[in-house]
Amino acid sequence: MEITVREKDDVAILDLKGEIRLSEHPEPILRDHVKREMDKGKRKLLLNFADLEFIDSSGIGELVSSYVSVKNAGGKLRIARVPDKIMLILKYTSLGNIIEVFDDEASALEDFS
Amino acid sequence: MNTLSVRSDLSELNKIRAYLKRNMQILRLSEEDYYIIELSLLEICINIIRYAYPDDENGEIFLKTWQDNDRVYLEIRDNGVPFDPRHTKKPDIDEIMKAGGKGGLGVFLTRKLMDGFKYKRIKKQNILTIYKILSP
Repeated sequence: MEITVREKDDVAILDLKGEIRLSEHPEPILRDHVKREMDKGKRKLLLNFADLEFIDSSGIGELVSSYVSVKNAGGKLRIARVPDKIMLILKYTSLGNIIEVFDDEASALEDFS
Repeated sequence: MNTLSVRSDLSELNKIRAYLKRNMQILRLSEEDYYIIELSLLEICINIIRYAYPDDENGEIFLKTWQDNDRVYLEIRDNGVPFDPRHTKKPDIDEIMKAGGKGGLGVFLTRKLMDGFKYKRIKKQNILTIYKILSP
């Protein structure tokens, strides 16, 4: 998976591309990027899922763990532009009821402000 | 019917993915159907890899796939410890949050995403058959 980070005002936007899945050599890449942004003092994080192609239960675990660490630090983590197939997973895990999901980036950014 | 035998090891996941891709190619599945089938198969295999053979490094997983009208079937067998995945309870997302993201979501997701989920234990084998009704 590739993650690139952009900034918009005080929000760190993480663009996720590819797959978050368990492999022989698991890399907690999402969690690491989230931690890096928090270490820089960011407390508003937006995950852009537009180019996310695959997530498994291990990836959901990473997402939950990232959300918890941001929340515990008094920050906010939101998700935007979730493909339909990934939305199914958020729905069945009830994660979509816990982490706020937005159709587009602009609405998510507006919610932060 | 197409079959595959692999070692019960995370290093075999790519072989499983390639096997599925090979067998599903001809069906021209929608992106969503393929995702659901791939995710379900991998989650079940990962569960076997993690728990079925606690004292056996030579454990195996046996896969079979076939199509019947609008249904795609996957059969997953192992010779590991008895495990009936129909009896796993729905994971509590709050508990998973408290545990920092760890928790048994994989089998639960498969049960929700697939249209059929049957388990039997015969001759010391766990035999799970799952199917997906393809979108029109």
